[in-house]
Amino acid sequence: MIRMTDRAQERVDEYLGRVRRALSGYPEIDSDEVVADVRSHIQTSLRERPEPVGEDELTEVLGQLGSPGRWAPAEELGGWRGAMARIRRGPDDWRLAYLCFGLTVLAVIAAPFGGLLLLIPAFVLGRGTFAIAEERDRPLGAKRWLVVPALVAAYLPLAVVILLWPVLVSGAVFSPGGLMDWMQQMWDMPFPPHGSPAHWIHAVAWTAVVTGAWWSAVGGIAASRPMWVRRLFLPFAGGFRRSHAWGPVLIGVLASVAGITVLAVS
Amino acid sequence: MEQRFFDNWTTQLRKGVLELTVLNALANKSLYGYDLVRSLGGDTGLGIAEGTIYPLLSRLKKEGLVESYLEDSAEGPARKYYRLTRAGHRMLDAMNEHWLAVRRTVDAMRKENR
Repeated sequence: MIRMTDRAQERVDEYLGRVRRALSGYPEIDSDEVVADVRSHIQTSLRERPEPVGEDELTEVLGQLGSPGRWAPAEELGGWRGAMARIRRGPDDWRLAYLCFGLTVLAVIAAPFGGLLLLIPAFVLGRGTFAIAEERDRPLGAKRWLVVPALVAAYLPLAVVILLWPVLVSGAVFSPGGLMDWMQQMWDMPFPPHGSPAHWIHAVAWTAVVTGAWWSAVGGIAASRPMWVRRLFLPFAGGFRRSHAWGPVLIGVLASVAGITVLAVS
Repeated sequence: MEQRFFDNWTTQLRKGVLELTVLNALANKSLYGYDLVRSLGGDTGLGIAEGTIYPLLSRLKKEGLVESYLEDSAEGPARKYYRLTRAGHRMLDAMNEHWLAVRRTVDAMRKENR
């Protein structure tokens, strides 16, 4: 096996994922075998390069292999499978970006009538636009701004939920009539009364412990699989690196330790 | 417009000719997959990306026209070689015959136009 830099290895994995996706649905093609063949091809092409092989050398090899999206055209698939493949890949032109923008504008205009639901197809079209551009190695250029609003409208709430759901849940647990009150009634647990300083300290400390633990877990996952973050928040997290994940892990550990200390002392 | 028409035409032509080219490349000898792909990709007039060959080989295998086998290599892991099956040889003969008929027709028309 040829040794590669982490980034180069991630690109190989990403490329092989694209190969698998591009060939799925074709019963006459064994995608596992093709993925294995392409992996072997990449290894053989790089065997005389100094190790660890970096991105530049890899880019040359992947460029010669070409874009997997063009290896097996969707029109070769008949019936419903062809239709599904075409829907999955979307049209091969800029209309997708304009359609995405149109839906976003319509969603905002029709917001009082439930139009915000249109942001869902707008988001799907936006991701599709970026996926096609990436697969075809054609930068979106200025047209990315047609797509960005739909993506931001989806990513922002998603990021808030991913990072802050323990805080939101804590609000429900510690508010009057919440889970804390229920537990107190069920098992006669000694929680401080609502509104007292002890209640607030208790609530904040528990929130810090849970949120901290969650951030540590999320940071750990992001550190071990930085590509998941890059793909989840495509195209905004393209520069996300393993090292970026250690910040949330550190903050999470500190918050948890602080919360546990406060709970222990109080 | 003209360029688009030409591009569409070459794409259609390439799709049909690629199978024939691969089968002919394997007509008389087994080939290491990597070497086969390198020889057909690049600047061959086919104008295809190298990766296009792998799904095609997989398809030809499933059709029973081509088979693969592994052979030890002094340079590293075992290499995968491809060769034609009996059905592949029969298909290649039929395809070559058809290709020649098409070519004769096109050449005849071109001569008439000169």
